[in-house]
Amino acid sequence: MDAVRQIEQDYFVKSLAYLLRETFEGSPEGQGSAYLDRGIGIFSTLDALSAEQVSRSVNGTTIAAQTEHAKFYLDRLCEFINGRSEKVNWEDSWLIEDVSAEEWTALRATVRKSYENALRCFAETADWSEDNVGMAMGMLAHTAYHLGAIRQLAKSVGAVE
Amino acid sequence: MKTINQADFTHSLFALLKETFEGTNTAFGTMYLDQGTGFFDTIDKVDAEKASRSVREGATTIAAHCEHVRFYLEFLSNYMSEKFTMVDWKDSWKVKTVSDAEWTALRGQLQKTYQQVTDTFNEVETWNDFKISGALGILAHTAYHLSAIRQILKLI
Repeated sequence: MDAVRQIEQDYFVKSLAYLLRETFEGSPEGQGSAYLDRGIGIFSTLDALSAEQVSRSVNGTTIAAQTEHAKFYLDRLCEFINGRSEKVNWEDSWLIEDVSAEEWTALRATVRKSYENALRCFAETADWSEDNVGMAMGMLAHTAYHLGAIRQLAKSVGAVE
Repeated sequence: MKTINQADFTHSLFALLKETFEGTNTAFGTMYLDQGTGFFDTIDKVDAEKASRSVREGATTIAAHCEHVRFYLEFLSNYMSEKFTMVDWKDSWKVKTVSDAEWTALRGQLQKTYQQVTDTFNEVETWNDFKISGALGILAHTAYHLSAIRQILKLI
């Protein structure tokens, strides 16, 4: 009987972390980018926006709402990977629509914490079951998806070219 | 050396790739997209005129995003198959507007390139870091541009 094919856990975790890092921090200086233009990432995009800009509604959504939703998804998926079994009310991820200057500063800080928590979650996970592998890749795809939305919305509020 | 069952990785990868391109219409829900919002679901509802419309002067069109995604998919698929070619990434943004015939052709090319990507993934025997990164790049890049296209669609 053929042995079940395996992949090195380290390859998976490091590749995933590399792509997630690029999504949040942008591609590292002196290295090629995997999928984003140089200088583009969640942090550089959000840090260039004011509370007023992220609270401005464009076709029924705001950058603040997209940011909170992306953060909420990241947090809940980490919890599921760590064994959470209770259901999530995903409508709660869309509760924020606009923010004050203080709230925007606080939200950006929680995004950083969520990102660091996600990297830690990847590094510390021992059980890479099919569900956990899928959720970890879903975290990357979902964050990339909302970064794409945020950057388009930022153009609409006049924040980026 | 700690390992992951390769089938656990590939099942999840194919499920996410399928959701990104084809969307899902099952009772089991989706992993990260709302139902009916996959790449092909989205662009098949757009005509050539809308795909060619800029939301403001100089802004990228849906046609431009589609050609850029196709270009990236082709490059990464070849790269993962170890067919290394030098490309000028500026070429990926050459398409701006399309006629009806060009739009039909571009969507057909996207379908073919998506098929090429799934064939490439199916042919991988050993998923090393280089191939895993390539596959994750395809997933993230397509998700990023899908979302951009869906935002543009709301504005035109």
